[in-house]
Amino acid sequence: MEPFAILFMTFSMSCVTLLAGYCLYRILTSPPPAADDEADD
Amino acid sequence: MSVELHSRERWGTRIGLVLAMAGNAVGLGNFLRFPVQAAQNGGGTFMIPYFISFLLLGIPLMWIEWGIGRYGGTHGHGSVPGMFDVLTDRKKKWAKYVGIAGVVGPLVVFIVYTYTVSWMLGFSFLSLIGSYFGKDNLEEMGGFLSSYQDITSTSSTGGLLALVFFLITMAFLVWVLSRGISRGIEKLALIGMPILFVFAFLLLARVLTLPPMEASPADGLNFIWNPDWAKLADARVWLAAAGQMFFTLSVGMGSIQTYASFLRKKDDVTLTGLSTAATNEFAEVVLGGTIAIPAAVVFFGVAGATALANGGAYDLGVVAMGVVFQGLPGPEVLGRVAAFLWFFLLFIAGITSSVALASPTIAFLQEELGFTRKNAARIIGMLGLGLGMFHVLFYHKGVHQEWDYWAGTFGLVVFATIEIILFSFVFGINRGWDELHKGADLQIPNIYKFIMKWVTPLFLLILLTWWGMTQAIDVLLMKNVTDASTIPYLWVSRLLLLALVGAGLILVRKAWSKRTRIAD
Repeated sequence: MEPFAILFMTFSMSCVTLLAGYCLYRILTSPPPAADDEADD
Repeated sequence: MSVELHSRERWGTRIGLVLAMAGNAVGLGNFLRFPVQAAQNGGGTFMIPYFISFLLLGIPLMWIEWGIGRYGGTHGHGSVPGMFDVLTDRKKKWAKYVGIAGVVGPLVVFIVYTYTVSWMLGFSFLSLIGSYFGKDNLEEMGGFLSSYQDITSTSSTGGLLALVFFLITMAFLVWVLSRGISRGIEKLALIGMPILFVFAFLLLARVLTLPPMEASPADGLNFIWNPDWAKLADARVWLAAAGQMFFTLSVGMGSIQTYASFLRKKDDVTLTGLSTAATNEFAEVVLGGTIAIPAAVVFFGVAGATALANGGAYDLGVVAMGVVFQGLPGPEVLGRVAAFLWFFLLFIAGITSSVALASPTIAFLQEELGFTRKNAARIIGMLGLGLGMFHVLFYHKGVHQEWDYWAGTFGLVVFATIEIILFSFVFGINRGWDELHKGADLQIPNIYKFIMKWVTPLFLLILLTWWGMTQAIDVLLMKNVTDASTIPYLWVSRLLLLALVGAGLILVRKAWSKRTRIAD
């Protein structure tokens, strides 16, 4: 592979993997929403 | 029938919601359209406008649609006509009529798309029984696909078989939709999406460990990712990247809003919305870019893969991949299993998007016209079959592509433009910003307030202006149609589209007059 191809591929794949991983981590570690939300509707 | 506010369904779990939303976004476009677009538009350089479109178009529209959906849902509306009505504080009478685009558009795409998705189910079955094994070159495999798509074909693997798989797919969709949000759509996503990712990783591993033939897997990756710097100055590449962003994230459609309407008032939309966008991008960039094109390069070389990419998604995804699986090293049964994994992966990707595309119509029928969910699901099944038959019968006349163009390409940009103007200027960006941050687990960077108000609308207006200047006349007058005998069929397909829009407008009028009478 050409060096720039490796660079683009690695950069692109790393960006989306890190973003997806970060979001998943935040979701799994976020507290659930308050139980009385339904009453607000 | 009644139009009282129903006790609205809710998502069962947050992970179920993320997977259902990701299922909506991850579709055939991730595995077939993305690699073709990247290969045709400068390889690595395509990723520059692609990521810029993601940041300036995809993410803002995604957040806005989640926000509009949740806001509409808390006011008892699960489809866009009602959402646009409440966005304008019910003061602009035209808003709900404009909003019908968010019901008719996804319905039309649902019909077009579900027929294609049924092919993937059909080819999963045909792969397992090895029907096309022996047709190990592109010409024969292409003929096999054409025969499958042709209703008049008398072959045992053509004509009626496609119809049978279309009926099975539609019946399955009606069953899932009639079970509701948490028991139907969420359960499908909780089962289907992990299977999709496992299948994709298995195929990715197989492709990357292929022995060199015409070329190596690394040459395949090089073909997709090697930058062609001259393309960066080409406006068409930027437009292709923006178009891919609409396709891949399913923004500008109406389905995200409907799914988000089943959130509670203070459920987060910022982090969850970003999560689904990120999951989709992972499926597209990491998995979608590493299966079909590299496999095609290994078997057909760079020149062959270029020709296949130019031939479109089905030449690559069905014809080329059908040949690839027959040529895999090892016993034939492994090739059949790999082929099944590929086509079933595409089926799952497609079916989870199909349920999302049907959801706005279900919500509209249920909440604005008072149908039960089961009856609404039956109606969409009948519409899907009735109008789908038009595509089954006249696929070769180009009616499929005609509907796909107006509802699935042009319509998305028009709808997104109207939507963002309503959100940022009529509802007001400050109010919208506060709405997005209710219960938020993620603070959106403030720069996005400016992007949502000015940059994204401008980006969309540039897209529409470019279309008007370069394509509008030719497309409207069908100057680019190569086979004149198809023109009458294309006009009929356009009239059918207009009839659907007309019927939608009449139903909006009927629903709101009933609402007004009850209020009086």
